Amino acid sequence: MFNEGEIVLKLYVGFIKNSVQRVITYRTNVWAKTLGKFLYLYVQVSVWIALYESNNISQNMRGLQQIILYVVINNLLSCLVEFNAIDLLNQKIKTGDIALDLMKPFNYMLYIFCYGLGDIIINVCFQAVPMLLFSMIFWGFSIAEYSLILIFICSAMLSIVISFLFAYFIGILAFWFLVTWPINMATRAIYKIMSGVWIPIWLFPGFLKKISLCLPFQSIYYAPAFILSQPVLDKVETIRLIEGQFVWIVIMGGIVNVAWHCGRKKLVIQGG
Amino acid sequence: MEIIQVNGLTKEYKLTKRNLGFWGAAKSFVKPEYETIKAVDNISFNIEKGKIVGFIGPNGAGKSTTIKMMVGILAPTCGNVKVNGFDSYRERKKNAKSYGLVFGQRTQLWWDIPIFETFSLLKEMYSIEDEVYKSNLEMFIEILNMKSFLNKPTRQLSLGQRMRADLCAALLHNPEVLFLDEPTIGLDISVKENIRKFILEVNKERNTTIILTTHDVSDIEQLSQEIMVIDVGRIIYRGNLVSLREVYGGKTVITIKADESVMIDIAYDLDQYPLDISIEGDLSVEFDKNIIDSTSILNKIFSTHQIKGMKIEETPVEEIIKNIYRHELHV
Repeated sequence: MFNEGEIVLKLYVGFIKNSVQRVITYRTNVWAKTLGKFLYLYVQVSVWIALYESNNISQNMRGLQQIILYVVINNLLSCLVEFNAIDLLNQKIKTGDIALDLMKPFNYMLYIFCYGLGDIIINVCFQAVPMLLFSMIFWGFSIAEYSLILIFICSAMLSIVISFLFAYFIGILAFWFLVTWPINMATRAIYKIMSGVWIPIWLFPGFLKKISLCLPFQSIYYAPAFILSQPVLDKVETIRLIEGQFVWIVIMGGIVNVAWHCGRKKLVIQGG
Repeated sequence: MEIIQVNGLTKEYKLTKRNLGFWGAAKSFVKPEYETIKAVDNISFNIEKGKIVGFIGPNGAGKSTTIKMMVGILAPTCGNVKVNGFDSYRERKKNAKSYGLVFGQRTQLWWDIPIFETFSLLKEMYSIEDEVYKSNLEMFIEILNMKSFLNKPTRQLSLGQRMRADLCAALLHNPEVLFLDEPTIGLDISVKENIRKFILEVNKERNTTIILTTHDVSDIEQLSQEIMVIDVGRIIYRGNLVSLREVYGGKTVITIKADESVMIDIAYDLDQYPLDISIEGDLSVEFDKNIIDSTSILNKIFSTHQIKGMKIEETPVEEIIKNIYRHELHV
């Protein structure tokens, strides 16, 4: 049994390795993306600084500091959770290439996940780490408790899973619609607002807060970002956020499973 | 032993009816109408281990759909397929280990990485033992002559190279069944020849059951021990080439070169048999082999006449198949 597990692990590690190899084949893409991420981070932080200064609340340095930290963490997270699974699945289903994957003896969802991890590993090395260093040097942070880093890492991993499940779900809707990036575009706006990636959810008015609780998106960005950026440890909120993440993994996992089994029956291999 | 069992296999597609023109398109957009198309219609057959079976049929006949259901990629609307005892759709992952598949029009090799890496990944995927992997790989590299491009990524390969690499990838795990979906499409004659030789060798050495679809009749002639003709989702003929000729083709043509007077004599001599004779420069005698024995005709000609040259032709398989497609013949 252990032996079999080892072989399976080797296979999926192999997928990840191949995916990394695939990503770094296109070097220009990697650098262009890094540049883009840096610019985006810089602009976001500048906007918040300007906002605080123009409102004469610069004496509230604690608040600004927390926002900057929150923004930086979200930008780091974006390197971890942005899966290209939607495009990939759309492409595979649209061209019929999914046939070639389905004839192989592996778990399809794990395969797509490993494929995405390749991107994420490159993102971490070429974007997240440099951005983290850059931010620490220019803006400097203080964290409420160092033990939070550990909880943050766990929470970020859960974020990766939720984000993946969401992307996978939208991706396999292509079994029905062939192309689903328009659906993705439509959900994108809701995703961006409700995940708290632009504006922290603690600044939301009451009803928006309630809506965001009914959606999986805040479990992707807000949960880990809040955990690490909270000025003083809020135990109740931290536990609630982690619990929420687990609940969303179960819900999304169930939805994806049902969608997959129904979708497989709908599959038509395009192009002969 | 029957390695593949297909029972009442049916596949229906629901398609949106497309109306012509702008208003038609607008109408379909607002209120789409659907129609159901039967791509495969209640097919049943068994295939014995170690056989090479060729599927032929016109474009859109349902060959590829049948194959895709046999390997468990597509869900059957009705019926089921068992390969090696496993239900191919419900037990997809288990079933996947027992077959290899090559699509002539798609590649299973990873596009951006060297093909060698694909092979080593396949080793993990199918849990191939080290020794088996090594000896298989060495053998295939040798026979398929792949040494020169092992380190190239798939996207840089020529079609012939890619095809060879795909065949290797499909066979590394010693599958019991090999499915080939148009394996020689787009290849030049010499590569086609090599690939056919290789397929025959695999079948002989490893007793691998091989199922192939093709439009190239020479594939069928050189490879298949058995053929199945599929059209509009049904099997309209199953048997070997010899009996295909007997059932459908049976025309033999003997063309004779001789002096004109001799030709007239021969024609007169053969008049008692039910055959078609025409003299247009040469004498040509056309008859049905099932009705008349060709040796008796040849005896008749040789025994009494002086001839300069002779040629015997049978209706080419291609012609027979074309006739079947045109529905001129019915089982």
